[in-house]
Amino acid sequence: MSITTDPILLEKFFSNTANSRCGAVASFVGFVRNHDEGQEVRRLYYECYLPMAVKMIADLIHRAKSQWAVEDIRVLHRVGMIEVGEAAVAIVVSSAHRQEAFSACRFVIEGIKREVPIWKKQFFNDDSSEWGVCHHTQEVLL
Amino acid sequence: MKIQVLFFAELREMFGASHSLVVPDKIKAGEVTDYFSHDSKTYFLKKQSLVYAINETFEMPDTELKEGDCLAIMMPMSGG
Repeated sequence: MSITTDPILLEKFFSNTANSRCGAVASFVGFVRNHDEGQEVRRLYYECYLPMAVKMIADLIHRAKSQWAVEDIRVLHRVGMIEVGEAAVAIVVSSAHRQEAFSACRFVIEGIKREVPIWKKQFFNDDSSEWGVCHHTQEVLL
Repeated sequence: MKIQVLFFAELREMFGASHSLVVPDKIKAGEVTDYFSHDSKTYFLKKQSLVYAINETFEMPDTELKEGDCLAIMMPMSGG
């Protein structure tokens, strides 16, 4: 399952990524940061359209594997309330060569931001809150 | 015909998570927002760049719905 409500345990997530065919492992981890556009962020709440989000992540992985010669791609996105400093998303790509691993990893995280039905709500230190918006979504979907 | 409409995130907070609607045949995805024109939140809905999915697949606003379809009306994604 590529979506979880549990904390992402990075050591476990990155275990067993290497095999004898792969000379490269590229990864991306998105953490909750403590600020956004001048405001102090306390925590983030992530919500998803679960069956479609799972399907879209699988589709992104399939498309990445079709485009680059990569051996394996793992994705884990957390939903629910996530505190500053915790991981919200983790991606790891293994391949024979680094260029394919970097490219596929970048493709997957950008795709998650634009195409996977997941939304974040920011909770600020002043007790206000706001749903986030990715302004790139429309141009990619349409 | 009957359809199901789903909202998530900010739209869920405003309109509720799930609605069963009876709508005219061949209604387009982008026309379903008219059924949520009961109060001042309509303006909010109208001004957004909404994204539509029918049965978990992205579709354009002018895509016609069929009996039993599940339409998700969504704000632009912000995951990652």
